Amino acid sequence: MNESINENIDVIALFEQGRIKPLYFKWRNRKYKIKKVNLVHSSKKGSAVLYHFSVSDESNNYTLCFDSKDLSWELSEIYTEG
Amino acid sequence: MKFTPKDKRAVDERVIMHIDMNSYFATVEQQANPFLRGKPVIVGGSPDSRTVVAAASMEAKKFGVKSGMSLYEAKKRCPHLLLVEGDHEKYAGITLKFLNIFETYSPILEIFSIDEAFLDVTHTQERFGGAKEIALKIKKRLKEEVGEWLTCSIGIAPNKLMAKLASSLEKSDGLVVVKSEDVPLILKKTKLTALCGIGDKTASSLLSIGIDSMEKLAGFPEKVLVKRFGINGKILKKMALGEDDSPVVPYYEEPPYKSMAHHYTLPEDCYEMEEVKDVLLRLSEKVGRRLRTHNYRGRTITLILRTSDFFTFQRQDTLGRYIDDGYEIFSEACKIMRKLTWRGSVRMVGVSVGNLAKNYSQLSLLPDEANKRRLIEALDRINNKYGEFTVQRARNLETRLRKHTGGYVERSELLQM
Repeated sequence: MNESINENIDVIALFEQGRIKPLYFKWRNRKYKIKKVNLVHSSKKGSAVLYHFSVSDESNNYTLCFDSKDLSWELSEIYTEG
Repeated sequence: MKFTPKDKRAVDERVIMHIDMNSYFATVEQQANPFLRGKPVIVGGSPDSRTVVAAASMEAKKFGVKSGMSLYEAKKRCPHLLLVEGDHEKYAGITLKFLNIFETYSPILEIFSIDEAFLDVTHTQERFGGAKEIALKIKKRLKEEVGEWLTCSIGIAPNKLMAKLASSLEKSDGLVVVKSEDVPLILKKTKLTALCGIGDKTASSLLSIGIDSMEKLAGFPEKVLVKRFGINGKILKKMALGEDDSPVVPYYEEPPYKSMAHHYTLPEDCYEMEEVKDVLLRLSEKVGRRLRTHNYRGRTITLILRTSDFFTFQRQDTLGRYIDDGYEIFSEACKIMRKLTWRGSVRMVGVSVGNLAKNYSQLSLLPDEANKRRLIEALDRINNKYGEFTVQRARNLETRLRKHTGGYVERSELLQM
């Protein structure tokens, strides 16, 4: 089951070999440790390039969005089992 | 980087690869969301719309679910199906990633569709240990660099026709090599419609003259085929012999646009022509923006309407001038519409602009025209920066077109991303 969130979040990410790898994110005062980055793709919104990270922690899957123009992160969606 | 082979090898000495991503949209969604892996998944429109299956996962295909099937039919075959709303930007973005991988093995890369490509490795394969080795490297890099759930089927053959056939012989994560000497035996076991370019209609026409197998087509008199099918008759016979000398056309050498169009299937059959016109305006604005983005103007406007019982009406008008303004396109399409005696509902609306000219500059001495041009250019700058339809006509404020997902994408536009 998926739910649209679209809220700003704080992210700790690793910049390595030309890639961004989000490691943790904080949403509504709770810290989430990212276990795996499943897919990364980009899109354009006007002149801004957005990077979408499909990630998993121990329980759920999430889509995080990085706006390379204003350097902000957003939690786009949460996917729970069932 | 352009690559022009200096030696012209005989066409049957070529080494062509066809790479076909397996159940592409569905697999991408399963890669993104591990909860979907191993489950019957289909990608389509929103569940409350008149959606069809754009792609089905391998698990869904086992139940007989196929692309193009209605959601209703798909659910009948597989009641526990999971529907994911398609995300065209995601698929296009992933396509660019795998195209970049393919291109490291040869610059002669033809983008056939959003999930298929041809690669001519005739002159580069020795550098990488051979074509089969390239294929294995591509499969490995796809998993490592894009996602471990993504697989592709690869066919290697002396030409595009046979390479595409070869990739279809092993559906999931396949690798099939077809040598010249293998071609007759493979074709003997192949149905006519398995060849790219022979669909149900052509097969039906062939059957009407007694051809129901590859063998019969290969042995049929060419003169009779040409009489029946024109120049295509020659091509059909060559296909049945596994012959195809068409080159792999690199994406940077593709021919220019012939026309630009947008279509939209309405969520419900519509009886109100004013509502149809609202959608037509939005589509016309989209076509106008695409024309201006690629520096084209056109003078043949085509209006397409489809009824709920799938009767398609298409009429065009060729103007004495070239246009690229969405509202002008809309106005011309409305003129065509006014000439119709339309009864019944509309299921699909489309507009197309053809007879294109590139870099067409039409200076106008009329101040109104010059002002209009400046306004359009200013609106384009805003919409380019902040997103399409950031600024739009008031009439279109209430009109929303739902996202569609299909297997076709303008190849040049894929590369604009």
